[in-house]
Amino acid sequence: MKRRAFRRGWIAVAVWAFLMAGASAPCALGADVSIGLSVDRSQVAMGETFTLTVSVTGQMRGGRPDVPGLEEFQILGQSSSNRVQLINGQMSVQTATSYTLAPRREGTFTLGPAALTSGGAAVPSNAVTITVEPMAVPPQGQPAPVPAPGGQSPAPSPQGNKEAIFLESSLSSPEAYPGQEILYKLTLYFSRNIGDLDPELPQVSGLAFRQIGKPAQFSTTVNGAGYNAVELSFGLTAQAPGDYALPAARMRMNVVVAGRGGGIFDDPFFGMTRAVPHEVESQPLQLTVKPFPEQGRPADFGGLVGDFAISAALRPGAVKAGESATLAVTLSGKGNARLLPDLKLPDIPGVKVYGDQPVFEEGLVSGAPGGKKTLRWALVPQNPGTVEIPVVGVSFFDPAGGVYKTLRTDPLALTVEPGTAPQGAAAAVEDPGTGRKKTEVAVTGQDILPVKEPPDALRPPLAARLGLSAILVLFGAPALPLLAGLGARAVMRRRGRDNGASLRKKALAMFNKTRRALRSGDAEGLHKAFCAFLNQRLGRPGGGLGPAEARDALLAAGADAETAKETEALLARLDALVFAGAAAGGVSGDMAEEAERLARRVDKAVKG
Amino acid sequence: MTMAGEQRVGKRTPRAAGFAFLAALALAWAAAALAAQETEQTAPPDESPHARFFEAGKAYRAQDFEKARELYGFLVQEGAATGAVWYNLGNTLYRAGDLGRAVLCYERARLFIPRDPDLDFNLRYVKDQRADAEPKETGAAQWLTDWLACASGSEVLAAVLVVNALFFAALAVQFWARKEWTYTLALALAIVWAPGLALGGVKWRILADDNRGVVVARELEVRAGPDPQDKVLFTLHAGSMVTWERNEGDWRLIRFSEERRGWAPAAGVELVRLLR
Repeated sequence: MKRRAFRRGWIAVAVWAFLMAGASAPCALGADVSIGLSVDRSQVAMGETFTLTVSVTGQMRGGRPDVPGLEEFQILGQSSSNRVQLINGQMSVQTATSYTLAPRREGTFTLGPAALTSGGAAVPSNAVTITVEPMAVPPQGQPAPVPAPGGQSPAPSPQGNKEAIFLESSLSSPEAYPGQEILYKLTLYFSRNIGDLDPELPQVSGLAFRQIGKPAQFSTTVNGAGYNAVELSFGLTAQAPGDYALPAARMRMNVVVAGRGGGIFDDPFFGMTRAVPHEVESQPLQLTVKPFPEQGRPADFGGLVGDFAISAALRPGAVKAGESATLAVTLSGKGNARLLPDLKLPDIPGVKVYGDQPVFEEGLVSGAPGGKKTLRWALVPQNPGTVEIPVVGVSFFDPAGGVYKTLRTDPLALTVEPGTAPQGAAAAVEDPGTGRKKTEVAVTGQDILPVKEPPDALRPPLAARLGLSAILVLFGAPALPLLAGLGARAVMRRRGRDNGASLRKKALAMFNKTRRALRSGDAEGLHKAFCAFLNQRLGRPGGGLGPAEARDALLAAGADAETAKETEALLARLDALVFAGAAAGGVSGDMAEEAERLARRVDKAVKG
Repeated sequence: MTMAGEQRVGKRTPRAAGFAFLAALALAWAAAALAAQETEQTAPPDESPHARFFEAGKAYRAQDFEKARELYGFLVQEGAATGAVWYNLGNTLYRAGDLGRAVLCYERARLFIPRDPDLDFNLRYVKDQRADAEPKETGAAQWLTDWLACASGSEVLAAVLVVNALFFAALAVQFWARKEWTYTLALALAIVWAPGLALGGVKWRILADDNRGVVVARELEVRAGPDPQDKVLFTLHAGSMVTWERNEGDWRLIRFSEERRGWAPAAGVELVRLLR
């Protein structure tokens, strides 16, 4: 028992050590460490809160990373979570620390980049920008009263004369251009316990909504009263110019109210609550969509609206002939980034160009809908020299300035050095047979080979010459001799069987004919004729037939025992007359008749 | 006596009749083949396709590619398209700047003259001019397809007919002679005959169900659905090989690789197959 317990203890220690070794592997081995900052809202008002999340991947221990700019905000709360993943034998540890922050003053602030030290080297994070606006104005909508515990009548809100739940909608701009995506925000303020939110967006012909990101939750102050808020962001796009009236948006929910009936069970402590359906609606809005100006419209304008930038990078800048360099062009900005085009790289003489699949990322850029598209080409120059990379670009409409803009990449050049296998240049090689120096045949030009004009150029292919029927005949004909042979053999066998049968059927007639031809008292003749009859009728080879042999053959052929016995007796008597010297008496007429009668019985009794 | 005599006759008659029948069939077969050959040889030659073919060659050498294209096109329309006609038409179209259709014609020529070195060279050269990097397809089915592509349909048909004839001839000999060597011969031919027939069937299916297509448009936007309003998923360029899956109206559902599949206007993709 002690030994077993000791063994179990060792196993437990070994498992624990394995797990600990695995968990600490990323740190011990100096695995890749990264840090990232993200916020749930990039624009807040005084009195509102937002959440900053610091995500560290690949490190479990160590101090909290410093986030520059955090001193501009009040830290209202902090929480953290760890996640360990083991994927394909690689352990990944992610620590996320979330801060609930409230701004101390108005303005634009930058959080980060945060720094983390890993293996003696500093690992920087990204930075995020927060815009803090003045305190939120009171809502202009039609706040709906909160249901009372009874269900229908308005309930007094915790703020007395202020509404406990209301919905506010807003547009990032009251004016837009066709295709321009502007931000439509729906913010639900509440100071009661609510759940099961179900938003209903206004339905307007010609306008399209698209949700952007996840709903953000924060705390805020409206007219001095504290609220929790849920903010939903939508991209709003109009396809055609015109004035659009956006009706009120609606939000359905369940409000948790205390149970009915009074008494001590009205106390929420006892959990006597129930959900009451409730609905609020926002204020209507107006959107004006202006047409694009005709003046200055570039030829390559494809409806892209917003504020975009372009950048190009060529890496490496110098390669050998036959090697590959990568040209990456990035288009990014805010606006209807989905219309960012797949740019085409013009043909570059002497360079093979292989395009990669464009990569598109969509998201909020400085609080507005936007995105980034990256296009990559692999460039394989064929000859040494300098290759000028063609400029590519895109045109868009800038709604802020009301003008068209055209972006172009900066001119880039690729330096191409002679490759290991020079093109068009002769190289000295050693002949493997003789060892003498030879000149390698250099390729100085490439082209297709000429047209063909052989004498049988128009000779149709075999299938066309033969035709389907001839092909089928040729395919099936070789089998015919075999089939014919099989058929012939079957016919012959059948014919042979038929011959035997007809002979057997004729046996009786032949016997009668022979018997009538016999002289009276010819025992030997009658014996031969009767034996020949039996042989024929039983399908046996010719020859003498003994009495017992005849009996057995008849029984085997299906004759009854009496007929077989009488036949045996007749043959015995005939044998006696022929072979035992009893021939003096000869064959009487009765015996001949008996033989004839017995032959008829045998003929009937034998089957087949 | 009588029975024994009949048995001897019964043994001799089928064998003699079988040999006689075999000989008669072989003679009839040979006569039919000779008659077909005779008909072919004595048929009056139709000069116009030949004249047109050589005239097209002259136009090509004179760099009148439009005329050459027209003349080779006539031959195709008249059903006189052979490996040489498709090859020459591919050359003409390449010279005329139609890279996509040049690849298409070379691929069609490969159905007739799969091991032609000139065709192999030109097809490699023209495919090298394409903008899109061709995905590598692997797998047993692709290997079998590539292997069978080394032989033309005519060659496979001839091989199947010969192996089939030899096999049944060996079976017939084995049936009548029943010697050890005839048994071995029939067995050996059976080992060749069964896979040969199967490969012939596979080749026929490959030719009949050849779903390869070539992008003939200079630039082809492949969309998420058969509608011009659907989102563009990727863009292909002339000469790229695709796999056709089905048609819907004037749109084809095509696949460039496992990850790139979508709808393109039917006019932008032409199928390689010639069997309808």
